[in-house]
Amino acid sequence: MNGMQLIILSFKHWLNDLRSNEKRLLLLATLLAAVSMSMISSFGDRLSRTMQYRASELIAGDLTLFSSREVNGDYLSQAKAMGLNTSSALGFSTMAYANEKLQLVRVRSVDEQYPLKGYNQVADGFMGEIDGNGEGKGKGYLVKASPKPGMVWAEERVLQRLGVKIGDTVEIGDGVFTVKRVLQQDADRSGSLFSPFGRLLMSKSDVPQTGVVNQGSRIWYKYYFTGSEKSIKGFSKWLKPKLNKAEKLGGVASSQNNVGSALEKAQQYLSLASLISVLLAAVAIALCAQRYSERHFNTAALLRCLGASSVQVRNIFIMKLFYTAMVGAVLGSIIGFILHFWLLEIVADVLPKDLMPATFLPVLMSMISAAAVLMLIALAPILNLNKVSPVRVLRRELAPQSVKANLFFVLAVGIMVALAYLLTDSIKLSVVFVVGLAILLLIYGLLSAVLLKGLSSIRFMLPSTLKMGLIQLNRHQYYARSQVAAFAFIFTSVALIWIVRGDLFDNWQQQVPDGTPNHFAINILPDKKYDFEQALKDKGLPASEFYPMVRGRLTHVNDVNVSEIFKEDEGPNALRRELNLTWSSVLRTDSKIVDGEWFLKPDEKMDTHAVNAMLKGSEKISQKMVEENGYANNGISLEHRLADELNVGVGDRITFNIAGTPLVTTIKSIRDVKWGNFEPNFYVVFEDGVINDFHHTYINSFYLPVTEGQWLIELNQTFKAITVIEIDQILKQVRDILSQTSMAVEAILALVLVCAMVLMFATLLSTLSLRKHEAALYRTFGASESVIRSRIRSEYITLSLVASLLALVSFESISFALYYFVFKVSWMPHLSLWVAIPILALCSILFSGYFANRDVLKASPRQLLQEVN
Amino acid sequence: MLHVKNLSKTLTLADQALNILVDVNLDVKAGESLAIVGKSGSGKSTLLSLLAGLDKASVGQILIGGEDLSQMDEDGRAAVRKKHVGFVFQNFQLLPHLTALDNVMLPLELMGNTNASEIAKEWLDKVGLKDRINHQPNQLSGGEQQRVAIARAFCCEPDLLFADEPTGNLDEHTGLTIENLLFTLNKELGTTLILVTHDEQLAKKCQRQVHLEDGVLTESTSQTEQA
Repeated sequence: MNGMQLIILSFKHWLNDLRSNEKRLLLLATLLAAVSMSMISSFGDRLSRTMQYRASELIAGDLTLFSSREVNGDYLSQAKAMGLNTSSALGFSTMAYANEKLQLVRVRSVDEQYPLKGYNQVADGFMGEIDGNGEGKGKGYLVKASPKPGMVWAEERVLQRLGVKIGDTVEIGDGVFTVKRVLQQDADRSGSLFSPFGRLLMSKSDVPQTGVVNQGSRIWYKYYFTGSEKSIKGFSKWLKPKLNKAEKLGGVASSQNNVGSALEKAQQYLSLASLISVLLAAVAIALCAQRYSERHFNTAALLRCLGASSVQVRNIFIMKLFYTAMVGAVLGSIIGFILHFWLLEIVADVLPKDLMPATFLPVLMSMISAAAVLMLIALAPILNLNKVSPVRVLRRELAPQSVKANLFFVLAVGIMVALAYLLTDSIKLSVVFVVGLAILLLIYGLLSAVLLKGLSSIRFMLPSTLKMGLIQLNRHQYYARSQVAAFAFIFTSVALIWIVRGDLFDNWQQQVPDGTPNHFAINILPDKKYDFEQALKDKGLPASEFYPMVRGRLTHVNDVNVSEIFKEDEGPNALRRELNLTWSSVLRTDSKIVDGEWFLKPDEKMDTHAVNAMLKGSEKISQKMVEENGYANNGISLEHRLADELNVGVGDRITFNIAGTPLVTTIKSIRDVKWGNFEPNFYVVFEDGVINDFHHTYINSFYLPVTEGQWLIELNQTFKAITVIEIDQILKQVRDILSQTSMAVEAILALVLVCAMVLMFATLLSTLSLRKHEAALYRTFGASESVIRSRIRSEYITLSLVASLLALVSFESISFALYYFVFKVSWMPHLSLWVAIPILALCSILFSGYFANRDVLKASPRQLLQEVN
Repeated sequence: MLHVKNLSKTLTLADQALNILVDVNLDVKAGESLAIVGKSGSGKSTLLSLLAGLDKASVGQILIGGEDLSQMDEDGRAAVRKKHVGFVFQNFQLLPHLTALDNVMLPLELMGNTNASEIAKEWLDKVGLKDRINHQPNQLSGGEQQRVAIARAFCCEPDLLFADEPTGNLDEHTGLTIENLLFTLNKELGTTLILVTHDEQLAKKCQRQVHLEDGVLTESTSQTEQA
């Protein structure tokens, strides 16, 4: 028989085999693995690319590069060579002049390409201004453009203070520019919203005309890049090793906002979910392949008897497996791809209209992965067929010796690790996850044997249903152990996915809960604080605390000037500008002390005012003396990333220059700050009483329903000196993205559950022929349908309970390890799951069991015997 | 056609040697029909499996068409089976998911015969199953299944045909039909037939009968003697 004849013969047999349950199941399991992989990866791929795209709108590019110096020209030429679009901005602070008034502004001069992503939000007038049609001129709209040469767009507060309107001119350095629009939101929102100076956007080509940028000027450069994901990744990889300390690369995931972190977590979750669905399929494939192999001992023996060589037998079965892999993987991937449109349809309402187009890569990867999973997992049992002795045609009891499956096991684990790496992009996580699961499955196998044996030894104490169920299960110990292990694995996976989902949702819910402040008020002078607070209270608006703000520059670390510690242009950005400093006696609930302790309560310490007065007033009392005597020593709490960048810790001294006065402080604690919570946040918090006497203003955030626009205009008019910044647009964008992500997570959870359910069905079907054989004999000996039904039911009830027990113990162990060692938080047993999982197990196994066993219950004994023989 | 010399088969069970076959010597000429008769557990099936090259003897020599099976590995013996041997089993041994036609085609395909389908159809016609070629085994009666098995056994025109209790699973009437078919075809093709049975009547239809008891073979009678 030549190669072609072998291919045809094996194909013909493969087609005929499709009539058998085992083959159908193997094909179904492969198909499902491919469907879930393809559907989830296509869906996840498009969604994450869209979310990335949307999130990248908030930073005006897919990738940004910040530098205090003009970057090496090679960077930009490389970016262009790799097909990326580039745009650049030059920023500096300077004075704007008009109507004999001066105002410090933060200028971003941009090229024509800016913004590459996202939009600038602008208006044609001030808040409260009405045009000829009675429409508010201050109503913002989005533009994908930047100011033309000769024009500037500036924030309302800048224009108000300079006393200019749209169409008027302002002077910046030597240049004169026309105010074209009011800038409400810059497309690049990465900068601080709370700068006391207003923003001004102008064309980069106008910068030389101003004459304000000279050698030695304090300027910054920002470069924006967009392009295909592959090019961005490639460029980022190329660029990273070349960057110096003054150059900082930023992207969506690294942007310091909640979108980046939500996106990252959602992506991890999607990957985890698809990985689990593949693992569920892999377990089902392993079970089906084992059974398929056993069912084909006779076929292999007959082929040997008719003269087929062992190589021919091996090749026939490998070819048949290959056809299953091909049909299952190709068909499944295509079905999955088609289904992902349906999935998108479900969440269409929250999806952006400009969804990124589908790509073929996830489908191709799913095809290869599903085929590889089947081939590697099923190959070991299939190769057993090669070892079948031809004498089996005469003596059925002869079974082949098992092929050493170790190599295949290692290969299967290897392919799963590769798959996990593709999905999670982390080799460490992939190895831990897959090897951990492989070990877990082995432990399940052992534990299920122990559990079944243990329960059998006390079965006289158990209810009759469980007693009967245990007898049934113990009759086929191998299958019982496999099924208990498989079900335990399914329920553990579902429980883990469920709990992780809950944690994710809680996390997101906390980030932008209803009533999240959508306005910031800054420049509130102490004498206006009460009135402003009262105005908000009268309106019944929920508002954050009023945080005092003092401007100060960080000058010394442990008495050494920062210019001596860090070379020019190196070191944290915080050193290059004035910082907003605040004071508080209370640690905010969303901040966490990671080192040291929060300030002592007033009754636990000396009067800090007195100490401060002593420090300021008497040169004789040195800082050292104060420290030695245990007095308060100008304690501060520092944000942990800044502390890391400055390489300082608790006990180190930091000196600030506040309005020309040096102030030595001691770090009392290092704080983790939640930057994305839409409330005022500070790098440095002083102990109450230390800087209270310096000039300060207040900042607060409050929530104002969108319908209250008129009230805001009135508020602006009442408190002209106070600047109110609207962040509704940002909030809306963040909410949209989080809501899409949540829906996707829900949909994928549902998908994993369906996958688990169908695979459970497949697992139950794998013992169908055994059950048929038994039922045939029982029925022949006169057992009624109800007797058989009750035997099967008791077996499934016992199976459900044993598997849930095992699943719960392992789930709690895993969650304990996660909470205790990874999250380092206290662990509590998940009591609700101790009720939910057994119920879920009972319902799903009985439900699947009913469908799997319909033939067993309905067919006549004669039919059953005929099928068995 | 078949030459057996000093053949023994010993199994070791729980450290105890169990002699299944003891010093069996047998010669079967081409075209001859031989019945191996014996009680259950006498070693009939073991002898059949050794003669057909399905298993390996502990001691002794088996030559089929001059080829020494005892010197061959399993694949070598498989090649001999493909070239020289056909089988008919008590439990038919049809592949359940293949049609009657596919079952008959199987050995032809393994031989690489490009005309397998035509030949298989001819043989199914000969055994009276022309109209059932697309039926699967579970759609056929026991007698019909055995006829498919006979067609499969003869379609390669083997030199040697081994039949293991070919009528053991059939009722008397169907059994007789199958016996007649088997012997008729055997005669037509001049195939050497070796038949294992405990049915004395069936055994008597063979030219020679040998008796196996506790692994020891004794020549009981031959047709010529009976005549």
